[in-house]
Amino acid sequence: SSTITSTPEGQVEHLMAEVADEHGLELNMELGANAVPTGTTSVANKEQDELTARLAALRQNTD
Amino acid sequence: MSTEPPPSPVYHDARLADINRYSRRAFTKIGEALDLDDQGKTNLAKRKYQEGLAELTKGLAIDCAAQDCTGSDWEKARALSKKMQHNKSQIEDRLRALASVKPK
Repeated sequence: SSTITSTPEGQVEHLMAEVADEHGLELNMELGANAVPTGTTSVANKEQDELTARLAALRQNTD
Repeated sequence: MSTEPPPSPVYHDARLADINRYSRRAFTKIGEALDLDDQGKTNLAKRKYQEGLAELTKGLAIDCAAQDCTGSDWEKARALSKKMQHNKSQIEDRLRALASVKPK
């Protein structure tokens, strides 16, 4: 809707959009939380590997 | 007007979508925490680590071992969950180490 409202719902939606933007996420919860591309688990797995490597490096540097 | 993304296979289970979402949010937060940590910004780093931990904890609360969790998507999710668990304990260690560091 193009009307600016101050209803809690409106505010909540706005906040959700802001948070999603902040994290580069698609706001697809309302359209179907299931709509996540299959590639995502692989991407997520790689991301966690990257964190593991960085955390291990940090440990070595501080030991 | 919006550009339609190309059709892609979807998970038919919200739990899988959630695990991915929490994992990826945690990645963002912890990545930021590591950057801050590298820069010696200990207090800010701690806060980001905590935020990352909270996302990991939410992701880990999703049961990947239930009887209906079968198929390759769930195999990947279980692998992901294991990595998240490992990173969680690494971050907890790091937070303990940082707790003994006096902020400059």
